[in-house]
Amino acid sequence: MSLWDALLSKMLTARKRRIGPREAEQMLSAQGSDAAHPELSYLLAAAAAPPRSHELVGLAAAVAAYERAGLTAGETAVPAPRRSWLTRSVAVKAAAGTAVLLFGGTALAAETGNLPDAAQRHAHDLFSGLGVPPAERTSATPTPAGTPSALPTPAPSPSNHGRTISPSSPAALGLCRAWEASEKNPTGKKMASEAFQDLSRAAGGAANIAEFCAPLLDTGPAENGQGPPSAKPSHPDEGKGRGRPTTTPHQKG
Amino acid sequence: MGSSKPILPWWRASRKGVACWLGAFGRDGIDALDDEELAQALAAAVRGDAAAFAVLWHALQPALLRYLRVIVGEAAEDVASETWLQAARDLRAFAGEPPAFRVWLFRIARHRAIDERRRARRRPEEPQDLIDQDFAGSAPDAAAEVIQRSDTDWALSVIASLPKDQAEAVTLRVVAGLDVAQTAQVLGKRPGAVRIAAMRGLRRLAGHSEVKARRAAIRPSLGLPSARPEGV
Repeated sequence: MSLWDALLSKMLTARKRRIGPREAEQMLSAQGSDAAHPELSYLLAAAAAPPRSHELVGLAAAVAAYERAGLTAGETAVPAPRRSWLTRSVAVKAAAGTAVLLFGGTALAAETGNLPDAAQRHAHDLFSGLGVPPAERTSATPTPAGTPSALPTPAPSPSNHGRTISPSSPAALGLCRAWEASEKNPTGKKMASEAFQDLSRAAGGAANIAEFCAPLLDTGPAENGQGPPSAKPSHPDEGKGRGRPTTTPHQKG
Repeated sequence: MGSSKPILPWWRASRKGVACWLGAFGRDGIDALDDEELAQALAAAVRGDAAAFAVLWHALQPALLRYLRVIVGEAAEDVASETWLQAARDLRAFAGEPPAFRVWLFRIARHRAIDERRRARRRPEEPQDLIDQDFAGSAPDAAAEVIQRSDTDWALSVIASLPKDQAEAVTLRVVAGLDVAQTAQVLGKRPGAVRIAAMRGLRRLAGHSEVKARRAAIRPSLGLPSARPEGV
């Protein structure tokens, strides 16, 4: 029972010494010392003690900024633009959208064989698996006959239409950045699904996005080549595509 | 309680009040300017007087820094200088009296602090700054200052351990010397909410183990005034 008594008395004293609105206001407004709470008054007084020398550092920079503002006709002072999450997510979307627009057109041109020869050859080298034909006048780079079993080439799928993205292009970088942002912040805004599909197509599958993006972002898991677990393949069959198409021997599409 | 005065901002009342019984904490508290001095400096600074701006800075920087210390910790210095940069830029467009200026300044500080927290959340990890060394280097000497420094830092760290809304309310009231309405403006809350947050903060502080532990240490040296000079 002694324990109970102790607890009870503790509760009683706690109740008795509980700070009410008036006491609180007294301590807060004029730093009145409360005889019932000397330690609390001490704490508040210490928090509001006179300034110390190390707290008065930075005056020169502030005054310099003030004078600069005066020189540049500071009558119409504008508050600093604050970058909100909204701004950022809009920026990410805009970047991804621009990338899709710019390179969707290029990819379409590549697929229909309308690029200049050099570019068409390059596009073919990169994306033969996605149905980009070689340049007309020059034959495609000689395909090595060996190792067909080691690296199964993704079959050229005529259903792949439109937007493909070169890994060296700014579009890929933009999409990778957007992808990385949405990976790092799973609670935040998801990547737009079209952008995600484009990226996963360029990478040869959603599971390969991490590997595809790693050299571009120069961070990330380059070795294991596996996306974070939250990367959902939008097209399950695409997940079977292997590696980057630049290194795979190809068949003519 | 037949006081003729309304609730005084603490930094005026404190001259006669608590500060005197805490010898270590000196006379004037953190903000030594009264409203008239501040009003003059403010008017001149709005007109473009750099010396007056320096006066404002001196008057408000310590409180600003301590408020930021409570809400952003070690980033306080950086956020304080960002705050002053923005204030320096926008001050010429400011119209109002010193109380409004305090609110204005602390609102800027709060927004910069929110930005800083956002940045801190985005950057994965960072080596610790050498804050302690900075402190040691800039202090002139004097044992009194050492004690005082550690007490103030201790107090701020204890306040910073409160839930955020309580910590902010207590700091703005006590350290910045804002009243309930001004604190509510800074925080964008209703005055009632500020009152409750501050009261809960005080209750929690009173029950804080470190605060209780200090009690034994400070009791012998306390010359508590028998009553407050003015009823409130």
